[in-house]
Amino acid sequence: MSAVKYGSQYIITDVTTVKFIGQWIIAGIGGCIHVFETQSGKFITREKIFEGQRVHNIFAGRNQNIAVIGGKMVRIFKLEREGNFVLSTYASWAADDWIQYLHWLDCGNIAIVTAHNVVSLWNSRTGEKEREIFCEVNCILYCALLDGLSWSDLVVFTGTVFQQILIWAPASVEEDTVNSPVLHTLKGHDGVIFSVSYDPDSNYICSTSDDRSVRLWSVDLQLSDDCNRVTQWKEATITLLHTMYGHTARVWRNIIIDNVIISVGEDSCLCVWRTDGSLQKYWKTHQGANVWSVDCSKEKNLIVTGGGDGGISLWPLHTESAVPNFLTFSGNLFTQDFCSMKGQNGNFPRRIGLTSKDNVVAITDSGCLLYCTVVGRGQGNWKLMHQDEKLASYCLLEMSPCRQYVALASMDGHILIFKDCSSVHGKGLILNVEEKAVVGRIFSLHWLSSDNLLSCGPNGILEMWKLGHPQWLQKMNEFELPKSKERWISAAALRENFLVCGDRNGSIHLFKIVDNQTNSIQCPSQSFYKIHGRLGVSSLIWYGNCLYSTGRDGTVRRYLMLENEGRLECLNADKLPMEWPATTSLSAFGLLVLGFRAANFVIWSHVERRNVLTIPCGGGHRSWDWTLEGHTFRFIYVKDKMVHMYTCMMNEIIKPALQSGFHSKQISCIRQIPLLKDETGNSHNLLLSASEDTTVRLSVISNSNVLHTVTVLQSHISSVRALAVYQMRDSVLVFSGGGRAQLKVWKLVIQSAQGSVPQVKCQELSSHMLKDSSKKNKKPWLSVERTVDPETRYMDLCAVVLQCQDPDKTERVVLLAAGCSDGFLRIFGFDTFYNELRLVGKHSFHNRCILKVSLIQTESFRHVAVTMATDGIVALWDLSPCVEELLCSKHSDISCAASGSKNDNIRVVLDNLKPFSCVKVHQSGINSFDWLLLKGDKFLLATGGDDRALVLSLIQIKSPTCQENMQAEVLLQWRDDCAHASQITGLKLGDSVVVSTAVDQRITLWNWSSDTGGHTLSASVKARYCSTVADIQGLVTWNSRYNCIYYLS
Amino acid sequence: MRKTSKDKRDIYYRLAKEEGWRARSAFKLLHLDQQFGIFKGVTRAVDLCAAPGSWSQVLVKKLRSRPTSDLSEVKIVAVDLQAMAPLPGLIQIVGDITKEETAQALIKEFKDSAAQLVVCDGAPDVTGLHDIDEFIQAQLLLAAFNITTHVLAPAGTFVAKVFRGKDVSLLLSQLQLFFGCVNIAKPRSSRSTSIEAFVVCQNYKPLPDYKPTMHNPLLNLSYDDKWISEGANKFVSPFLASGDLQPFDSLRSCTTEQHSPVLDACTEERSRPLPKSSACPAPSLTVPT
Repeated sequence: MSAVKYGSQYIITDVTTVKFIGQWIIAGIGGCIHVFETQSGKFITREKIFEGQRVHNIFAGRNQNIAVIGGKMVRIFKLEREGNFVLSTYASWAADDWIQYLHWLDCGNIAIVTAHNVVSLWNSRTGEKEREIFCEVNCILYCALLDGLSWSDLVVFTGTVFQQILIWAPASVEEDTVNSPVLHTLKGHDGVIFSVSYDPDSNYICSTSDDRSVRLWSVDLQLSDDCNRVTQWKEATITLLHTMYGHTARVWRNIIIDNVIISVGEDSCLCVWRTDGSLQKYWKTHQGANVWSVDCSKEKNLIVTGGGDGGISLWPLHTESAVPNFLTFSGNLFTQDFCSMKGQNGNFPRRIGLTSKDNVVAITDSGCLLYCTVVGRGQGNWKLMHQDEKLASYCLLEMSPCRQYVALASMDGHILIFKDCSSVHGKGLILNVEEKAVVGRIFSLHWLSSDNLLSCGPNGILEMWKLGHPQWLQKMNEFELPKSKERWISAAALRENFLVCGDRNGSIHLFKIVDNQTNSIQCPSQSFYKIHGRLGVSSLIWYGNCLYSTGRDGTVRRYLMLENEGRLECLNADKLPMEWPATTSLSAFGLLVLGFRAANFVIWSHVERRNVLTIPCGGGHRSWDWTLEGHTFRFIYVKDKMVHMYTCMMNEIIKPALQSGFHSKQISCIRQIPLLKDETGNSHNLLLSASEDTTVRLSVISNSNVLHTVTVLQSHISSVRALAVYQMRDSVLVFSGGGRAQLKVWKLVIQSAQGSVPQVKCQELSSHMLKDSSKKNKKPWLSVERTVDPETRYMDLCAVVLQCQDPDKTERVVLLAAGCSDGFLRIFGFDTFYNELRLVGKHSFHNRCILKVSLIQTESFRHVAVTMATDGIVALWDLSPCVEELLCSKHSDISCAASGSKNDNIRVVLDNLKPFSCVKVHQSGINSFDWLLLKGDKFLLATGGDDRALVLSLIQIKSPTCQENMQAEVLLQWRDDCAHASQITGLKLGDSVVVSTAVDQRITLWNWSSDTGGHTLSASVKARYCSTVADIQGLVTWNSRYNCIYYLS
Repeated sequence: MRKTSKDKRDIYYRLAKEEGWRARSAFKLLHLDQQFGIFKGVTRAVDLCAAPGSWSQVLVKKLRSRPTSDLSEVKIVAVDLQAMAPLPGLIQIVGDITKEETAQALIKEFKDSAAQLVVCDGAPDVTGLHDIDEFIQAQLLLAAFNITTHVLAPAGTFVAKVFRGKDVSLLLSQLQLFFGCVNIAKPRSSRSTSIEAFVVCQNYKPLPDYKPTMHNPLLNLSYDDKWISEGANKFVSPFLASGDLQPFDSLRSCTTEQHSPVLDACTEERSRPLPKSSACPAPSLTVPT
């Protein structure tokens, strides 16, 4: 048999280090380094550095020398050529202790600080240790730093586990046997020190700690010529300048550069501090994961960060050139010209807008329409354009999509339209139309296109107007909103002859426009009730045949227009890190969502999955407007009765990520999707992953073994622990379950492929919670009964389709087995026609948390569930009663469909299920399993446990006829109680091989064999591989070249 | 000062609150006792890295509340960097376990008769990067073991927390040089998602020429994967799950129906580990009643 070749093909895990080196950015990911070109952001290459050991830091020396450290390992490289990234190794060795810092000396040798406060000198060519100096304080270090050009100059800064920073010099002792004294001890931190940095130019020391603070210390060196550097340091005075609080969790790293301090931490924040101790700016990044590493290049004006989500992002260091400037229009607003009308009180802007020429239009409380040029001559001068009593105290102002027209709407139903003619006549705004259009107050006014307006009057009456010849508004259609509490619309969009409106109650209505002359009032043809919560829909925008809506519930939703059927299909939702998303924009930077978070205006990028811009404007309850032309972003808002304007260059603020992040927390489950074909017949290798970060991600593995995220499914309210996948003819059904006993069903359809990344339509079909979400449970504190439900978690899921004699129902019902943390096995049926999930059976047998569940079909087509729990018992269940119940419940289908499927919880649930056999295989939890069905209803079950044992069991199931009870028997068993050094988390059983993974970082390949008569069963280790991932959670394999997937945490 | 701690309110968290333990980790020691009977005949014990003191609470309860025990014989010493709330009959030493002074203070306490049991539930500030955490935990364990060698009587027991990571087998084989029996156990109350486990070292028998010292306390770990793949890890200690008598596990969502756990109900009966062999007789499947 040929030797097995192992190698990591692709890894996405914590980015433990990032460095700017020459024209490259080098990132340490697992045991590899990834190289990117700084200018283009392009991925260049990937080099394997260590086997079974993470890269912890990279240090560049002179002459293109690069040293990489990880744990106790050091590898020295030379960067061969400047233009192409070619590395050649010339030394590699292991130190005898954990390396915290490495420093290149002038002579080309290397000084290393190890974890017990020891500095050693090494020959970088031979890897020989030349000297070793112990510090007098012997304790564990969490961080270290060396400064100095030669051994005699060397100053060591170490951050200890005892909350101190020690400064000492190895050259202060003559002999290696003497422990070196500590020169300075910096006390003040209230926790372990995680990083320390020193800037010789400014003489600052900066340290970060477990206590969430960043501390800046000033060093006063006595700069006299006659004494050496060690003496200088001995006599120096070090004072604490500032204690900077801003991070909300531990602070991992800091850099002092160009008079600012950059710090990153566990709270996923990147903070930039001034040296006076104030926070200059901060970004929240890496999807809430740790930011492990940071580096900064002053020349390139860039900061790079590496995160716990596996992402690498770029940030601007300084943004002076980008004019993030504020213009305030205040003084001239109160000139005598127009303040006489109703006194000073009424002369503040109520509504504002930006015209296409970046001029500002404002309507004041006293009904004055003002106009102001921003760019060029007359900047900041307000001119009075129009004055009208009707517009006083209540007036709507809406800019047309082309920003050439301004529409005003009054309390008594007047609509006024002005045109921006500043370039033609130098006059500003010209009144185009004035008409009393609506009887009563105009609640809202929306431009549907540049010549199409929709007004909303009292009683939910919507009128669509066409802007025709001058001084004329032609009423086109009339619509009526369904009755509701606040019956007016807050958003509207038109596409061909479909009008979509979002109302103040969070519902979205679709109207089909029929060309009728009878002027009858139309009602919606389709409605999504309260889809955006109770605070209303904030925007509706068409991008092609896709509709995006945002709402005050903090989500952006996507819909697909099905033209043939004349209806919208709700696809998916993204939960946003803002409570008030206001609108969306599809720009060169991908989809941007603009909105408000607390007192700030924020822009969220869909591509980066983070907020890219934050402007403190005071919050969402104000009039505001924005434009994005090219890279220039302008934002105006009213604050303190004044108009403010903010301008910036988007391309300087948004730096595209070098590598986009994956899950930000532990991945709990990965499932491979059976190869799906798109329209062109290409098949794609798709992976679904579920994580503690509450998301499910769909990713595609390209031919070069790189993972691209296709979509993120985001609607779980708690962690997602388990996935089950079932392939149907043209789509894939995905079941996801997790915390808070939430179970969701999704449908995936591949639509088209652009290059290697397919477009996948993801639709949420159903959502189910054990706790009945009907009204009586909404306020549990009101009920007298004590709630017993302990918020079960779904630990594992498995789905199979039921074969049915009835041809109409073939492949209609999917059987889903769910193992729950409260010890229950729950059996669900999912009807693919009604998209309805139904609990049909449950039973608690293990009385322990069920960890794994699987479904097996016997040769007589009976379904058997296998459950494994933390008690180490494997139990087998006969699911025939559940299957019968599911297949024979025709009536309930019909009645259910008729009554609107609201009676889920009234239905009979089989709670007398019981396993027919059980066997104790492990001492404690069974974390992983796989099985292989053999002939004659025998199956080989491989289990891997918390007790680090690997067990192979050959089990025979006897299922005589449908009526008789099933029986099972363990025919043979083989076990290795010390298969791994710690818990086995992943198993895959092949025809003659077993692959197992465990937390001890080993991936082991076993050969198993059973003789022809079936009398013996044995297995032996064939190969072991040591992975760099310390917490492997599971294993997925596929056959092309037998790839393994590690999970990151 | 960590950002979040997930699953905080599991059943053992609630039980600890109900029964007045300072931390849920008290159950881990109780479960280890169920498995190994570590308190049997013990009157003198040390709790290293004791704060907030839940293990000290267990020691006080177990050692001082025996009907047969003579309270004047019982001696329990707790060592930690921080002072903690006092407990009846508990002597506290505030100090760092790697320091000479601490060792001297501890030796003074046990100058007449050595301790029979040393426990250590100390853990470092876990960063989330497992390789660093495992390394520092191993260093902490070795420091704890080093101070233990000063005060532990022959045939004594040492219990400490380990992270079952890459190099754990190596650490255990080192401990086997000093103890007759070394086991790794994961109590039911320890979250199965954590890499934490406990090493229970029984029958202390230091080498005849071994002299406890604080000067170079830390054993040097070097690691060779080839050594492991040849099966050397197989000789290391068997795994034992402990705490079987408790009807809970830490992953399970708790329900109110099982709401009457009394600690004293844990009998001295122990569950036996499964026999360790490669080819084993097939166990019979039982039909549950």
